[in-house]
Amino acid sequence: MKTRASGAVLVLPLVVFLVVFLLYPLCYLAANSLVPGGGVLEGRTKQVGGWSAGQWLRTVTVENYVKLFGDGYYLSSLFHSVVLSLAVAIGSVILCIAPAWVLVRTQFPGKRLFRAVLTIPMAFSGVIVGFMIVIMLGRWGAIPAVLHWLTGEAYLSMTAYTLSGLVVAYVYFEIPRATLTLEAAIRKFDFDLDAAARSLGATLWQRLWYVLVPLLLPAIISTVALAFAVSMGSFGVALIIAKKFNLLPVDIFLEITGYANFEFASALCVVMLVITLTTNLYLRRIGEKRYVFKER
Amino acid sequence: MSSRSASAVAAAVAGRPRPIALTTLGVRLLTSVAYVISVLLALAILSPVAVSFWGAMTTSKAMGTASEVGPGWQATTTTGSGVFAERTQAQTGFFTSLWYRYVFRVYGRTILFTLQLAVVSVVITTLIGVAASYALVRYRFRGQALVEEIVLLPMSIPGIAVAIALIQAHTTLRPTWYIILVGHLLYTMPFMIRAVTNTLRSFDFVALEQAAASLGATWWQRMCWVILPNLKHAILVGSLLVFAISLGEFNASFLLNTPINQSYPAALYDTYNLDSFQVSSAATMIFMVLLFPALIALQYVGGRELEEAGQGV
Repeated sequence: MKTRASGAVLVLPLVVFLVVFLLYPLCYLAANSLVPGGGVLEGRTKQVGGWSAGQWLRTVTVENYVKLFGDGYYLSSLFHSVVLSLAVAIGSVILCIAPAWVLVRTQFPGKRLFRAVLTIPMAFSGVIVGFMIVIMLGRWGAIPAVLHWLTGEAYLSMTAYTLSGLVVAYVYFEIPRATLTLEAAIRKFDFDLDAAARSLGATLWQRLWYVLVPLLLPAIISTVALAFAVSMGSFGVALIIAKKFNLLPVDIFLEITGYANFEFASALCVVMLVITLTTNLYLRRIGEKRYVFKER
Repeated sequence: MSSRSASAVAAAVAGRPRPIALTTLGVRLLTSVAYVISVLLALAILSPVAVSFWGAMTTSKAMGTASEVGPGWQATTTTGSGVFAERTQAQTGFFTSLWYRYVFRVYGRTILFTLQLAVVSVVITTLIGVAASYALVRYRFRGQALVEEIVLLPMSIPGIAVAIALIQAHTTLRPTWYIILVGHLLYTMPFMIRAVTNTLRSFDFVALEQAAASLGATWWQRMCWVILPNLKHAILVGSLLVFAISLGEFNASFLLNTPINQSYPAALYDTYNLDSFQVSSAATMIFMVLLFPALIALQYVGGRELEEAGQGV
């Protein structure tokens, strides 16, 4: 049977959908970030009617980016976001190697249930995680309450609103993503290599450090990149508990809801997009030697 | 004798762990540590759920706050002494269903809307996604790699950026619920496409198609009786993933929501900000009840598709 290229029209609905609802809006976002900010605080209002290409060319400016990078506040939220996301990405990968290992290498009754439990946070929106961290580690959360009952002192109270609380909350919803990715990687690992190393007299430490870690490193790097991108963009948690920290997604949200400054919010979005896309396209490509859709 | 050696070879080929590799003290120690961490993680995941389950049915003396005078509260048939009885019960008993009833009264429409959104997302991602996956795996055409790349793009870009882009670019859609649907579709499409393309790559469906064609099957017959039956499982896994993700999607849909059309996670945010601990817990538990069947079903029907699709969630 000849391969009919005409069959490729089946992909057309998807292409139209992506162009109309993903590429065009993102281009619009980038274009709009170069228009002078129209926020209520600046005292400007948006010109009536849509803008044409000529009008855009006349008004184009880098004003928003100058404001963004010249302002200590936005730089600090950028810094907070990046540091928090990096900490979360590395922390969640280190934590999740254990359940991934257990899921691949051991057999026990109720394994599917255990796996289901681990995937629960996958479909949680950030706000739920925020609420959960508050009821567990808030001013009178479950853990401080139990500690108070045990020791008479409410330790860990108010932890939810600190940086460590934020890290715990973010790691909470990274668990399923990191576990599933690492599990797939460990499943593909050829354990005959480990046996060979052992038969050649390698110690446990040598087997881990010279055989297992180098071969799992691509998966680990791609998991870190993924977790980093997800943490950068998630703002549900931060919306609930980030009272003491300014984070980039929350700033974007406030810029929209507080000042209706769509242009400046677009500029913030573009910066965030550039950061997440570079980490994903480069770090992940380095890590993942193979490409998801290509035949192996 | 020969069967025994054959099974030994099969076990070696499958890369099964040999018993000898697990006997050293160090490996045992590491495995125990892995077990302990796993159990702790599972506990950490489940304990907040348990706390909110408890919170959702306990009575509260701290009544008379905003929690009771929500917009839906007056619209009930319970009036006068009925309301009083309910309040008294909630203040004196041990357990109450008052908070659940409150959430259903105030946010009932939202729950229905979210379910509608999830179901429509499943239908549309199945229609568009299965057709596109088939074309992506079966045919070679220009720009193929680019399409594959762009489908996965939403996985690595923040939802809030997509939401702001959509709001600005499609102002005519802004007042309708279609814009929320679009946001959900963008974030769920990769899951469906991954599940289906992975299955299509795992067997030689072209040979099956050729066999069917040589027996005189038309294109439609090949689709309906050869390709789609083989994809049934992948579509089921993809649909469950899409349903679960759509149900909990917040980052993109929070800004896309309109006052009339709100998805349930946004309603949850409302309860966290406005209402009492009990009401928030009840709202969270309702979300769990909607979500858990899909997640558990996913574990039981999902095999390889889930493992593959789960990568890079």
